Amino acid sequence: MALIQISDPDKSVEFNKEFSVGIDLGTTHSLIAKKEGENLTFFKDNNNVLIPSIISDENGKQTIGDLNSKDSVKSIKRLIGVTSKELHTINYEDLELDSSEDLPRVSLGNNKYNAIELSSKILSHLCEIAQSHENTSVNSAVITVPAYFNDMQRQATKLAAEMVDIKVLRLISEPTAAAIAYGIDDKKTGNFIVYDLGGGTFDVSILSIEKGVFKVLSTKGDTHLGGDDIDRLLNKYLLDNYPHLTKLHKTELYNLSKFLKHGLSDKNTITNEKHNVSIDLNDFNKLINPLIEKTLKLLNEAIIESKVDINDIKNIILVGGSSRLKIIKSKLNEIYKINILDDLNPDTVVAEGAAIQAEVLSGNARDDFLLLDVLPLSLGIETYGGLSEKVIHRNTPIPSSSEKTFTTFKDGQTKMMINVVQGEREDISECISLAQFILSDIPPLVAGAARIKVRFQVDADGLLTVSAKEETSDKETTIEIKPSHGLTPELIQNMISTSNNKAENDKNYRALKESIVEAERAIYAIEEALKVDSNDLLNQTEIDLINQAIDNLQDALLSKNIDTIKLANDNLEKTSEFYVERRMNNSIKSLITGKDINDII
Amino acid sequence: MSVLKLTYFELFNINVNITLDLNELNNKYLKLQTKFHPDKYSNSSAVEKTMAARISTHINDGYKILGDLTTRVDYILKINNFTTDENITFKNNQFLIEQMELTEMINNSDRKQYNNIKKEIKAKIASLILDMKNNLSTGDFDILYQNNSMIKFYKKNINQLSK
Repeated sequence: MALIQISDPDKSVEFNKEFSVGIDLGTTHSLIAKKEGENLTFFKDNNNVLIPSIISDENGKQTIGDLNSKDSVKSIKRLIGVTSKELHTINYEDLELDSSEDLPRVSLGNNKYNAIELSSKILSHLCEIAQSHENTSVNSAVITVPAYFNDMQRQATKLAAEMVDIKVLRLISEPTAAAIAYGIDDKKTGNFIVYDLGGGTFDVSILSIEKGVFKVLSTKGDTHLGGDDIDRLLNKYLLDNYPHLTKLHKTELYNLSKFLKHGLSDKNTITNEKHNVSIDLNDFNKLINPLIEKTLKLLNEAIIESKVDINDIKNIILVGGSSRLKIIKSKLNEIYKINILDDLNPDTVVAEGAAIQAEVLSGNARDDFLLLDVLPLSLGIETYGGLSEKVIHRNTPIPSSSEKTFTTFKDGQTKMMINVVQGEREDISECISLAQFILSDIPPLVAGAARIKVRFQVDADGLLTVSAKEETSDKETTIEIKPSHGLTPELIQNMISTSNNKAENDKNYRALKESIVEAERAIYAIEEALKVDSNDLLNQTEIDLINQAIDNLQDALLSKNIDTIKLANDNLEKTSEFYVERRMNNSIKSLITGKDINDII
Repeated sequence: MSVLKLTYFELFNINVNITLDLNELNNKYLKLQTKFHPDKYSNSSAVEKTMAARISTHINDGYKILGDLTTRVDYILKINNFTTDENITFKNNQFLIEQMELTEMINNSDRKQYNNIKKEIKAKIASLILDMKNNLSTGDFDILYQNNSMIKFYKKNINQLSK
């Protein structure tokens, strides 16, 4: 709990409660869930928990989740956060793309949409389902992303949610969410492997769990490896071996492949009589073996990077629909003598973890829980010669920051181009460029004399902010950027205005409601804090000052005017800033000197 | 704010030394993060959020630096105001010759011998650690820096052998 909020645990305070959900935005299907105390609810669409991540268009009317539509787009997650220039790095053969703009667009009906727009349509649909069950609209969500998603893919996912007015409490990685679902209730401790093979992505994470703290030690993955690829291999196998199938529509062929694949998860041979095809498990395993080997290699790398002894790993947790493939369990058993956990449904376990985290972050729940995540891919800067100089290494706990000093290359150089990259390879052409910006106004000095300090800050969502500062001159030049990946402000604005947005009135009402909740929280928090330690930390003048700001805010609340409330709230925060700071310093000092946390609270 | 000005050793309340108890570091790390991680402030005011994020970052940064021998020693050098020009290459001819011989030996030996070579290197590191402890107590930061540089080379050798 926040330092300043010292509430009596037995006396819960009812603010306007937020409706917070966990969302698993998957390649093949998506889920939306809510956790409330002991109750876990998956919201159903057409009586189904798994909502197909398919957007279709029938005469201009768009629907989500229709498996049989001919004009539809699926597996859009493969495309999120990928620019047109990077298309060669991914497998998208079943999508027809227009790559004439920075972000590739898919045709649907009479229009073209980028992956962010399409993802926001799915998110919006999910929230409508939850809303129709609960009769209240979704305020905020924890959304899961593949652990190995890079900064662009994370930013894009967050933007897709914000476009449809969902406040993102946190992006958490899918394997971590699964671990939470497994570990939360029976007080598990120890080290765990999460092997997550989904529809389009593969992730593996090594976590340690102790006393409610979930700490990610290492993570590896491939954002373009999953059940989709298995279907694709199977499609090709079928066409090669059963030429009569070439006349099938691609949707029918996919459905056939899926039928066969699912059948082989509990049978040794499977036949489809309608199309007169059959395949046995051995042939199927031979076909997909290269993919499975790839996942096992990544798993091994993750174990090495976690620095955990293999004998100290307690369980392997299986996640993702594709982890049902028989070959995976048998190979894992063969290589590692580690007990496999698969008692939770691998399709729903990620959404369950997200719902738990959403409940925690919305302040409605348990306090004995903390998630410490890591940066999945190294962040660096391009240096002379096209090499990447790492600034923050992968598997660093987040939030994190780091600084590197760079210098000029030529005499009298006054500008410097900074190219921020993400990836493991030294050669920057093998990395993803997150942002490029020019630092100007460097004083003209001899080569190598200027000192340009570049600072990277990664927040708890794994999102990056970069700032650069020229240090030699008296005049400091600072520039702060957030990677934008071809998402210009105009494009974002344009996407927001064209998306199916809520009516203006509705939005205004929500904004007012939120500002009231925020103000009430601030007042409550400060009043509670004052009761505890105002005598120790403040003199009478300071106490009066803060009380005055509280009174002002209370008056402002009566006005029901959003601007007035915000202004008064900002004023209260500013007025009490020194007090908050004193409390934080005080509390860290007590922590350092060894007193138990419980002594301070 | 003042917490951010604490050295990482002060933050974790651990004595400045070349080696430290990693379990103790981890326990204190978890204790601090349990208090200051941004997730614990998701419903707090903007001021608190910003401060908590900064403190949490400071804790992570410290944990990362103190958790590894060579970065820890670099940090000890830094808080003792010892600086070197990064552009000056490490010069200890005897050591460089030894490195060349070692690299050659690694290239010429088969995997079975790797473990023995690793053991040898680890023994060298262990002896350097003892040296560094003395360097720290006598305040010989120049030599401490050199010894730490040698360990960095040895660590690269070990990484090479672990591939």
